[in-house]
Amino acid sequence: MEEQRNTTSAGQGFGIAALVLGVIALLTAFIPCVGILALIPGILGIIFAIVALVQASQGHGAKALIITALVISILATSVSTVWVLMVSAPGMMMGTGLRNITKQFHMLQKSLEEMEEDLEDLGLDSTKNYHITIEKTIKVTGGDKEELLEELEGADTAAEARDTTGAGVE
Amino acid sequence: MDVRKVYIRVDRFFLVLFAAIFLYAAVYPPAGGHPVPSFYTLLTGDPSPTAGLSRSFSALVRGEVARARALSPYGLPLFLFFSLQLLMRAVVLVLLVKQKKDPRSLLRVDLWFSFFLFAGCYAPLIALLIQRVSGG
Repeated sequence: MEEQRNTTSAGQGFGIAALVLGVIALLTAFIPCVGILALIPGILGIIFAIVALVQASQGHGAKALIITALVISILATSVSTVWVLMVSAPGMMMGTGLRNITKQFHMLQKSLEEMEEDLEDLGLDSTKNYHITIEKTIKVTGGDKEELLEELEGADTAAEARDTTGAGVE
Repeated sequence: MDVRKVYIRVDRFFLVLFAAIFLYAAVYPPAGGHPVPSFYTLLTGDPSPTAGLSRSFSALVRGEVARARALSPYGLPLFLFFSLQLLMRAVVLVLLVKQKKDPRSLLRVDLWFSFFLFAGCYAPLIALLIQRVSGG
C-alpha cells in the first residue's frame, strides 16, 4: 500500500498513448477489410508500452495501465498478423483453392450421375451419341422477307463450307 | 497522476473517434462509393469475408435494417457495439465533468461493460477468424 501511494507519473504519457493505440488496433484487427492496417497502431502500441514500462521502472511509476496497454497491443498485433499470413502465405491460399476445386469436382460428378439416371428414365443409352436438332421459327414483322431468306441461305452455305474444310467447332 | 484528467482525455478521444465513424457512414450512401478500400481485396484479389460492411453501416445509420443485414451479416453487431460505445463515452464524459470525486469505480464499470460488449458484438468476427485459421 505504501508503495502504491508513492508512485509517480513516470511513463504515464507513453502508457496512455499505448493504450489508445492498442484499443484502436484491437477494434480494427478483427475486421478482415482493415485488419491488416491494425499492424501499424498495434506495433506502435507495443513500442510505446515498452518505453513507458522502462520509464515507469526507472521513475517508480504505476505499471497497471502500461501492462494493460501492452497486453491489448500484443493481442491486436497477433490477430492482425494472422490476417497478414492468410493474405500472403501462398501455401495456405493454395490449400483453400485445392479444397474448392475438389468440392466443385464432386458436385460435377454428382450432376453427371443424375443426368445419366435421367437419360435412363427416358430410355436413352448414355454411352451412345445422339444427334439433336433444334428448330427455331423466326417471325419477320417488317423488312424485306426475300432479302432475309437470302442472308440466311448465305449463312448456311458458309457453315457447310466450314464443315467440309474441318474448321468447324465440335 | 490525475486519473480523472487522463480518463476525460481518453474518453473524449474515443467519443470523437466513434462519432467520426458514424459521420463517415452518414455521408456515404449504402449504394457504395466509400473511399476506404478493402485492403484484403486489394492484396488478394478475392472478395473480403466482410465485404459490404461499410455499406451495411451506411444503411443502419439510415435505419434500413433489412438492407444492412443483406449487405453484411457482421454489420448489425458491430453497429450495436459502436452505438453503445458512443453513448457510453458521452455519458461517462458528462459524469466526469459534473462529479469531482475519484472516478476509479466508474472506470471499473466502464472497463467491464466495454469488455463484455466487445466480446458479445465481435463474437461473429472472432468465430470467422477461428474458422479461417482452422481451415474451414
